[in-house]
Amino acid sequence: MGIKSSISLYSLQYQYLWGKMSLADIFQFAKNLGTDGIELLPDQMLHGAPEPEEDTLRMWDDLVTKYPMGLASDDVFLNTNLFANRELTKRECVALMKKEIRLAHRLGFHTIRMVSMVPAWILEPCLELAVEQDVTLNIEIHAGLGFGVKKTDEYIEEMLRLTSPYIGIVPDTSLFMRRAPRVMTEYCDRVLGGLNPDIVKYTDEVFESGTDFFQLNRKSKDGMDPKLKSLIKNDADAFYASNISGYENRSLHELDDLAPYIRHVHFKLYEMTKEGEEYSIDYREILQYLHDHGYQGYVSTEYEGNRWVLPDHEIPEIEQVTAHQKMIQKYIREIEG
Amino acid sequence: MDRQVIQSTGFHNIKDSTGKITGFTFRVRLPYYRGVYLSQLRPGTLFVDGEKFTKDEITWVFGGEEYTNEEMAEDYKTHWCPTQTAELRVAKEGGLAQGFHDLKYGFSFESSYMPPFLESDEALDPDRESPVFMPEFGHHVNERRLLIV
Repeated sequence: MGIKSSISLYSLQYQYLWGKMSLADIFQFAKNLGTDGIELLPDQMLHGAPEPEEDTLRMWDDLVTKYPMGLASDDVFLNTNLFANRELTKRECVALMKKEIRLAHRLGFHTIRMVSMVPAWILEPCLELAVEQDVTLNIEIHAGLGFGVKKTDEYIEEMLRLTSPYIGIVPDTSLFMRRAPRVMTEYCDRVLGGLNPDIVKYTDEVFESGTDFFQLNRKSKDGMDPKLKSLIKNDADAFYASNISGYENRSLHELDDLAPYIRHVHFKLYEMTKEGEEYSIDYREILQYLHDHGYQGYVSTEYEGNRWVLPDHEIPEIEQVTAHQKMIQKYIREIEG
Repeated sequence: MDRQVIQSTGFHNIKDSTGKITGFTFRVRLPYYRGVYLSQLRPGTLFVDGEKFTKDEITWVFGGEEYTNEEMAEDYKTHWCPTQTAELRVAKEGGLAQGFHDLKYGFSFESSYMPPFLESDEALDPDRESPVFMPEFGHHVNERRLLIV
């Protein structure tokens, strides 16, 4: 078995929130699409997580029995900022992470995705339990919070020091964007009162030249590329400039040294075009890369275009996720034969 | 549940056991997909037709349990799930008059992967917008015109 497809239930959050789809409907939907697995955010959909009541756990057991699906990833967030007046202590963080590991095991997951910025020192004290529960711990490497950001770099260093099959990474494809998301540009232009066309034009040029504002901003003393700054003429431009700085345009080869540690991948989705491609990300290139590096895990649709839907428009989660899955599954078939 | 944070249902006066009107109530939803623990909430100020109610004059009700601002700040075990609305109760003798009222209410919250510059007390001020609006965390201050009949 090679690369497997998955849907992060983050992608269907509004269907769930507005009561249009239950968890059972979501499992059925994923099955109908021919998806191999699902990725769950227990905070979002399992009441009482990380210590849900017995009846919630039974509901989960019934679901996974009725709709047998691969359990691709359990998404864990560490609430270090639980209190207004202090950060959680290290001991409290470790205890919380251990609860998450036990819950992942209880739910049937073998992979935990830890959100970006989780501190690296969490790994060693949790490793023994992770091994015992057969659950791997993996940090998400996300654009804007990834390579070159202190906490991520520290994590990678710690991962390489420990070199355990139970510690790894979850790259997010927001690191490998070849164009800015058109839905974000449209949102800024239409909802926030009109963008300076020159800022959009300059963004296109920067991405076409093979770089991005995350990298350009870091070269500037005040944290923003001078030309980008000079093109900010109004609030919409300022908002756009701030957002555009969170999308990266890296070479896939920056993953080469870390490829053996990839345990799961987030396949970001901003907008599927009529041609059946993601507007900003070249998924054929990415799947080919993963295949060539022997990756055998899940690649999981994470629909983030939801936040750029114009007000009073339906959020097209079903349509977008369906189109994304069709594309992913098609490329996996083509590449793996 | 409405897409807007301040809900169109649940806005009415409240009476005590003797039938005396002691205040009013309205409902809000959490504009964040994962939910938060009550200690992560930062309740702010309410304005009704310009009349100000401080955070200490407002209690929150989750699943039938009523919490003061102080109680919420210490409660790191109760989770506000985004599929449930919260009911806010405001003490005001005689309640609100019949007719339309303009509500403006601010609350914010912390989240585990918020960029640090959004986590300062200033950035989390519930009565002002965040320095950078991030759609996934919603607005701090929300407004709505609602009717008491």
